[in-house]
Amino acid sequence: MAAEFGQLFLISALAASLMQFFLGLNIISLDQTNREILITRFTSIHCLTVFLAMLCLGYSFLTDDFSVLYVALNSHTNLPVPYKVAALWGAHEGSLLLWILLLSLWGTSLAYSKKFFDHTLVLKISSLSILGLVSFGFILFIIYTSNPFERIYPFPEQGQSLNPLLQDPALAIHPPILYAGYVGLAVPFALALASLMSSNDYHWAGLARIWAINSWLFLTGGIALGSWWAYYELGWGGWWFWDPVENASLMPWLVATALVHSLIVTEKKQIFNGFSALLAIIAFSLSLLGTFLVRSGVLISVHSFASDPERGLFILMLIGFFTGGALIIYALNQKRSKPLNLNLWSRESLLLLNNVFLCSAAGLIMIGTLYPLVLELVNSEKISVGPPYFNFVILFPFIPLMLFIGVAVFSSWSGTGKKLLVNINRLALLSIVMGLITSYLILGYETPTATLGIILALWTIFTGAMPVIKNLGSQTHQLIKNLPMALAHIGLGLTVLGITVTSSYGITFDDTLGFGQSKQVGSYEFKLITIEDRAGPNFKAKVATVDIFSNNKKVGTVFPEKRTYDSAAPSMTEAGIDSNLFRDLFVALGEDLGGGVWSMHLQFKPLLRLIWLGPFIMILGGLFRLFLLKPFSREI
Amino acid sequence: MKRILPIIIFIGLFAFLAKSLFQPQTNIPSPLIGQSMPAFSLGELNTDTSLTDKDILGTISLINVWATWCVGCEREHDFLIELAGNQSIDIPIIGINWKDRDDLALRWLSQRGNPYIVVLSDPIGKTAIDFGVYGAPETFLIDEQGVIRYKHIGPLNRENFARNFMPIIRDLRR
Amino acid sequence: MKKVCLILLLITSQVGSIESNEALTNQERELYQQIIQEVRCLVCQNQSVGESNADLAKDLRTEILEQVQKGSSEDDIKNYLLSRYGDFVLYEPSFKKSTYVLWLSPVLIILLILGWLRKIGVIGK
Repeated sequence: MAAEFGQLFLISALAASLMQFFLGLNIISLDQTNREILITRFTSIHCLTVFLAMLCLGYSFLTDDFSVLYVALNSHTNLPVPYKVAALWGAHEGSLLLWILLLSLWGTSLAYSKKFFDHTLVLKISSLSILGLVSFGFILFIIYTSNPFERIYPFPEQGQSLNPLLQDPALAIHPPILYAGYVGLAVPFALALASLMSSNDYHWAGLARIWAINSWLFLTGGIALGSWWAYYELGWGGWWFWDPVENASLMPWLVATALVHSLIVTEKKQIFNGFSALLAIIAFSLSLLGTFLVRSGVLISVHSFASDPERGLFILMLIGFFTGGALIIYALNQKRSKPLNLNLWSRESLLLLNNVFLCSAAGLIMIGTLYPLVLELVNSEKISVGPPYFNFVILFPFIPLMLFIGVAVFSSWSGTGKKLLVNINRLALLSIVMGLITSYLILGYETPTATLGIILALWTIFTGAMPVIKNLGSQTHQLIKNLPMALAHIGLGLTVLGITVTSSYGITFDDTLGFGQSKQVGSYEFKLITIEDRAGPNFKAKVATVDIFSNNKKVGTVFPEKRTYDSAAPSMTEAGIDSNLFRDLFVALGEDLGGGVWSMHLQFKPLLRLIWLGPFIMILGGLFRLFLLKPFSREI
Repeated sequence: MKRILPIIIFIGLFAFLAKSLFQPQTNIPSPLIGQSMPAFSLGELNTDTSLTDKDILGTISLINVWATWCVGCEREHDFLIELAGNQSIDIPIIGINWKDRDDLALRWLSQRGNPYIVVLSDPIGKTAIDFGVYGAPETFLIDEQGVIRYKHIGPLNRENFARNFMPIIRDLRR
Repeated sequence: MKKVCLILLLITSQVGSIESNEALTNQERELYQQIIQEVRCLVCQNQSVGESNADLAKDLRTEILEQVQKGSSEDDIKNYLLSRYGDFVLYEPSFKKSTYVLWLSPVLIILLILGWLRKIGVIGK
């Protein structure tokens, strides 16, 4: 019965979202107060019904109701309960339901927000109405092409279980976080459109900024979590592959970052209104594009869902409608802007410049991701565009970006270059000297890019931290005012530092090891002690014990595993990792070559942890901005 | 212009995505077409004799890469038998048994019939790499001078053979 | 899509392993590790041969290793693979007529940005 109730709730949600949309239109004659009350109610009804539908699906999972196709395909009686919950969004249909649930939750958060006043009430009503329409489109999509409540008859006695790769805590929470980021961008999108269609001024910017930061936080967390998962679960110790699906999450992140910064300018200086609106439209559109790329099967990716052109077509229609519609509204309502007369060294133009660099990074990633498709379409050539290409082209926007980040921190609104130069020259000198020392004396010179990367990372960290350090003695709110920016920039600097050092100075080693044998990787010695059998709840494993020595002193022991799950044929690698802040030592078990000899994948990766510590600090910065700064928010 | 530029770019992107959605997935084109086939020297299945690329010159032939572990090979096998018996097409098929065990291959041939004039065995897959093979079954059309004229990836059947191979064979024989 | 009997189509979580005991010099090892990351495993879902444990990936790794030991250069090995499998096999697209736009896109974008900044008057006055 649960599945039928779920179906019913989904249809109610469809109706509620449609009501939410219509209530925002002027065709219903209502005064504004009543309109606001009603639309708020329908937004919550809409959210509640989607939530109940999700609960129904969850119930089917927990009761092992294999007559529901989605449950039969993704669950099993011996699947641990937490993973039954994770299986809710483990495949296409359920993940789409989650997508809609999160969208309606963001809508509800907008509906109950206390940030709206009389003069922005119309913004609230129109944006909720637009969100209703977005949700309507996706609920229609789910009902027509991807219904998770579909029954099968005759039904199987046992389910096919969740893909073992997804049976992992980090990956279980990864989709909700990433999706929360993706769909959170619908809120700035809706606010931008609402503003374009009504007053078309800067009032939306302050509101949109809150939700833009929110979804930026989730996107940052989601991407970092995904990369961390890939690192320890996929088995070969990589953390970023420039896979189309990864690119699909990085593009909205880059544009969302630009959006957050552009909204600062729009809110404070009341300029770049059109640019901010355009960024809000592009950011959400890139989320939709990502959804399309992952689910339509046009691209080959490690992470794609089972694909279906019909689904692809439906999502493409949704993109055409929402993005196309939004861009038309943008074109029709774009005011002729008065000449800005910006000085290059003012904060406005530096922020603008960096936003443009962020967008071009996103654009380059898009070109690289879609180029093979274009070539195949135009002259049936097949090429691969992978890490060597992306690692190279991304430097073009990122080097100037990192350079200007530090400059922008010290710039002032409408400021000029002269004063700026005095403020930054010491820090610039410090970064260069420290960078050169690090790359030449501590790590040893590798490549010019590595040295430049280290210098720029330090520059970003120093310039980010400086405003806080300078205000250490002053009042709390002076100190705290710069904290979100400082943390975000320090986080970015640490990430870049980690990426640069790991990829330039890391050592990867594929080799064979027999019992008692050891191999030297950099200054570390890996010694294989034993390999034993172990049985898990739904898998069998070979577990190796590998001791790691440095200068004849034991620094750690790792236990890499090779698992064979009951359900799936290919075996899985669980890497053994010994890590601290300064380095990661990684061992993955390859194959039994017989005679007690195993092939192994050994890695030494310096400063790898910074790649995830960085995003964590960025997120802290964002959280500070959202929660800690509230009492001071008027002054910032 | 500034206002409508985004929508113009978007329309282009949209049209392109729509088109790629309906684009049938194609196989990876082989750079070997039009080139002489790579040199090889492979042992014949179950015998001590070995054969080189020079030995199969002088006639138009097919080289079919197959294995007993390959599902698609099972599906094309009946057609291969039919093709081998077809007097009017009259084309010899040379089998390369790829990364397989000889005993399994022999049992397969005795159970299902043998369409090949000769079966070569490539247990380590070295020749297959030279031929750019990445999935079985793959079938190469070789002309009299030993030049690869066409490559088909996936199971052969009456329909795709008539459409893709026959015109080239007719051309070559003219 | 044509049903091809691929050796392994599913995503695997397995490490690409080396199947030789022979000692390599550090330089050879570095070259080997680098190349296996840049060569695409044609039957996998977007993985390099270094990341995949598909049979074809293993064969290609062995082939690359042998060539590295023979003293072939990076270009030799890449050309060897290109001449057999075509452009698709390398993750770094070659620079030719059909990829001009791809490779020049970063420069084009930077130029566009500079032009635009001039136009709105931020620079060049």
